[in-house]
Parts: sequence; structure tokens; C-alpha cells
Amino acid sequence: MEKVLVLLLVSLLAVAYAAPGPRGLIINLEDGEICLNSMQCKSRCCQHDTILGIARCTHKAMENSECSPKTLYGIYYRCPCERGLTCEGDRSIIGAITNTNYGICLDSRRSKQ
Amino acid sequence: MLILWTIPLFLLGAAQGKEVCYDNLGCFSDAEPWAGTAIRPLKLLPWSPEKINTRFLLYTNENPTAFQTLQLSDPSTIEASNFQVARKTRFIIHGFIDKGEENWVVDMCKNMFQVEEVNCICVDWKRGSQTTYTQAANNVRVVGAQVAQMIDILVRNFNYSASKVHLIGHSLGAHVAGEAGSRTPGLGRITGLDPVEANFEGTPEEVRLDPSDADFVDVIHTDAAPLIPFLGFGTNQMVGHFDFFPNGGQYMPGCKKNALSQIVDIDGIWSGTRDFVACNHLRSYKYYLESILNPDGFAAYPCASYRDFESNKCFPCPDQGCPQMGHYADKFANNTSVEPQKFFLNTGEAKNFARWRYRVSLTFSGRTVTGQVKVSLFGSNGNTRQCDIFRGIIKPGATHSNEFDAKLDVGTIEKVKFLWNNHVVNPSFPKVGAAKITVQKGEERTEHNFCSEETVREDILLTLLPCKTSDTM
Repeated sequence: MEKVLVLLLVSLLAVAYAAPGPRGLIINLEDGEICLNSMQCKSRCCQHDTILGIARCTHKAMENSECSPKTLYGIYYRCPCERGLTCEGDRSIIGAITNTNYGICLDSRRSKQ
Repeated sequence: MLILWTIPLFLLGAAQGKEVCYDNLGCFSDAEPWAGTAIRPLKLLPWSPEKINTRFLLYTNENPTAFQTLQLSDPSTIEASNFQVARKTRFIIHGFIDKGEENWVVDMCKNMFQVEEVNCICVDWKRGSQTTYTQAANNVRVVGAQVAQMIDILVRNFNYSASKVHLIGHSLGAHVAGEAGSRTPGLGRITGLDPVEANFEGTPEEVRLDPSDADFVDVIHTDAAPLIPFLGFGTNQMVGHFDFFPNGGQYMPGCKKNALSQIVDIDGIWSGTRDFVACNHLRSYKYYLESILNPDGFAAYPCASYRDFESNKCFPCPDQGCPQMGHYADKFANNTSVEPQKFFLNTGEAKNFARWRYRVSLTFSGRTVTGQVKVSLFGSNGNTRQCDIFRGIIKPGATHSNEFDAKLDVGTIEKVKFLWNNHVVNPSFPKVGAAKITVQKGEERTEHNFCSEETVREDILLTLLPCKTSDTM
């Protein structure tokens, strides 16, 4: 009981302190903040693990890691690639509908190497 | 006559103050410096050991999930337990409002069992810590005395060496460790995880954690901003042989999320609520937890200030090397000097906090444009993300240098990729390249050179391979 009260008190203090400069809930979200669409995120990727799971802003996929091509959905299981990279992988209509056309981020110029 | 005689007696009583004594632990008074000072104004006496009900919960490699309870009053409980005299012993001491069976405390033991054979004792003083703050701060003295008593029993009854004892305390627990250390001659090591500021910062050494409390005292500061008005719970005062200030020691990356995102935590609502209240403060034990399994991921650079560190003035490591923040800090214990030492490093925003620091220096070629430049490293262990190196006017022939913290140790660097972009339309499709990129890892003196004669358009990656020998000379 005391524990809850003390925690509540400290929470109230923290909220009171947070009030003067509230953090955004909608746009310019940092990595780790909850989002509904990738446009809200500074990183431009809103990612969740399951269709019902909570989505968070996440950095884009780096070279040699798993990715999704950019879609209209605005929310991803795997993030799109960083600049200069292409998400290479099999694509299907079902994959496009379910947003599960995964691939690997590869250098767009790799054929020149 | 009667009145005159009473005055001195009254003064004597006032000066003397109150005192309580407990068997085996000694006496505790509410005189200065424990109370009645600017830092500790309230006159409170610590609770009795029975009221605090400190428990010593032993985990070992043989019983990693089910603890055995050790009793101060009955040394045979130690004899009957899995305690091994040949092993090191690490006590983990929680802080205000916390408890000995909290996940992070038990996780500390589990991580240790993955890297060593050790006696891991969680000190559970939850009854003494889940009360008003000032009372808990005073109860620290009794809990500290009890920890010292436990160590004394090990030394006397089991011929154990105090130099093999390591106390790890978070928040108020750090000052419990300090109290225990000051009562235990020859104690090996104390790690303070963000020692709490209120009632302790600026007090004499006997009250708080300080370097004389053990042969080696290392401290991690993660919430060192002033309590008023920033609600920084941890102390900014240097209280160890080594004081580590990750990310500057005041604000931890990933702790500035909006309230909703903070509370709805990946690890659950309880963990999220704790983080919402004291995210910076709790990071200290999270870093320590991860440092156990990452022996080289928390290299810390000696530096005068975080500003200097961020200005890239403290790179690379000095000749004697960089200590690792956390579990392996004691590998540098022989480097303690008379002066306390400050160390700085950067960490990640979320789990997998370990980072490896690299410096990248590049010389531009091609056209003059305004834009930003990113570099990624490719090595035997993998590759990094694209890291921002430069922003501004890119001039051919100009050389720019910057440092960044990679998520992994890439190992032997095999190639470097360069990319530039800006946010304007470039109708003439300008091409920019990096004639040379030099890479240096923080813990090494060796510089690795990569060259290319190519130039690329915006958002196209340029690959640089090791320079030919003639270029290097």
C-alpha cells in the first residue's frame, strides 16, 4: 500500500514536471515511441511484430538485414531500407495484401562490384 | 538555584541526542552528520533489524532459480547451503521501494552464472525501503551493518577473504554497500549503480559511498541532473575510484519518449511504469546487467567532461587502455590513482546497449555541393548502419572527421561505403566521392585507409576498398 502511494506521488511529480514541455504524441516521434503510421516517425518507419501488436517508430533496415519494400499501408512488420539500398526478395500479390513481402537490403549498385 | 542547576542538564541532553543500539550491529544516533544538518535535516533513527527483516537470498550455479536463505543468527544455514568458499561472492543490494526478488536483481545473478561460478546473494530489505524516503535513507545504516555482519561471519567461520567480496548496490543500495564497506576492512570491490543524491550528496564520507569503502569502488552515474528542478535521483558527486558517466551521466537515450510510449513498455506495464517514473535512474542496473555478457561493449574513455568527449577530444583510448564500464571495470583496478577518474561513453537507446566507438575521417572529391554524408563500415563480423559523418558544404579536397558508436564490433574492416544526399533538387546531377576514408577503432591505435577514385550521384552508395600500399605510404 505504502509502495503504491509513494509511486503514485512520484508519478504525479513527474507528470507535473512533464506538463510544461509535453512530448509530442502525434508527429516527429522518436525511435521507440508508439505510432500508427510511418509519417509520424522521424525515422519514417512505424513497425509492429504482429498485426494486433503495438507499433513503434523504428530505424530503417541496414544493408544485409531483413526489410519490406515501401507500401501504402504506412506500417510495417519489417522496415524499408536505408538510402542507397534496395529491398530484394520474392514478391506476391498475397504478400502485398498482407504486407509480408520480405526481402534483404542490398546495395542498389551491387551489380557494378 | 534549582533553575540554574537545570539549564546545563538540559543543554547536555540536547547535545547528546537520541541513540539506539542493536546486538552485533552497534549503536546508531541521530546526531550530526546523520541528522540535524542542511542535507539531512530530519531527526530519524533507523528501524530495528527485526522490523526491516533483511534477508540474504543465495543463488549459485547449482541453484540458479531457487534461492536459499542465509541467516545471520544461524551460520549453519550457510554451511548447509550451496555457498562455495572457493568462489567469489557478489551481493546485489536494491534501492528505495525496490525488493530483493525484483526481476533485475535475479537477472543479475543469472547473467553472472553464464560467465563465472559465483555465490550470488540478493539482499532483500524491502520492508526497510518501502517507506518514507527519509526513513529508508536511515535504515540504510542498519542494512549496511547487517551486510558487514554477514561478511564478518564468512571471514570468521569459513576463513573466507573479504577481498573476494563484491557489493553491487543500486540507488540507496549503493550507500548500503558504502556503509557495509566502511565496516569491513579489506573489502574487495563495491559497484555503485547511480547512488542516490537526496540525503547523501555532500555529506561526510562516513555517511555515503566513497573510495575508502573498498579496495576498488566503481560507480555508474545515469541520473545525475539536479534533483530540483530536473528530478534527477542520482548523485553527480564523484564517489568512486572510477566514476562512469554514460551519455554524460544525466539523460539516457531512449528515456525521453512521450508518457504513453514509456509506460506501455515492451517488457510489460510494470516495467514501463517504473521507467516512466525513473527511466534514467534505472538504466544504471540495465547497463550493468548487459555488461556482464558484453566484456568489451562498454569501453569508457577518460575525459574531463562529456562536452569534450562529444567534441571528439578523448579518442582513442590512452596507452593503458579504456576500462569497461560495469562488471569488468575491475580489470583496470590497478590503474586507480590518487585522483578520482571520470570516464565517458555512449550507449544505445534500448536493449543491447553496448556500443563500439569508431572515428571516421574522409577526404572529398568530385563537385562542390551542400548536403549530408553517411558512412557504413563492413567487416568480418558484419556491418553497421549508415552513420552521419558530416553535414554542410562538401568541398573536394576538404577533410572531415567524426566519431560514431556502432551497434556491433565489425571486426577486421574490409570495406567502407559512402553516401551523400541533400534535400534539394539537383538538376545538374552532381557527383561526389570520397577519395580516402580513414577508420580507427577506439581501443586501437591502428588506422585503416580506404580509397576510391569514383564519384557518385546522390543516394548512390560508393564502395571504398583498402588503399593500395603505395597510397598508404
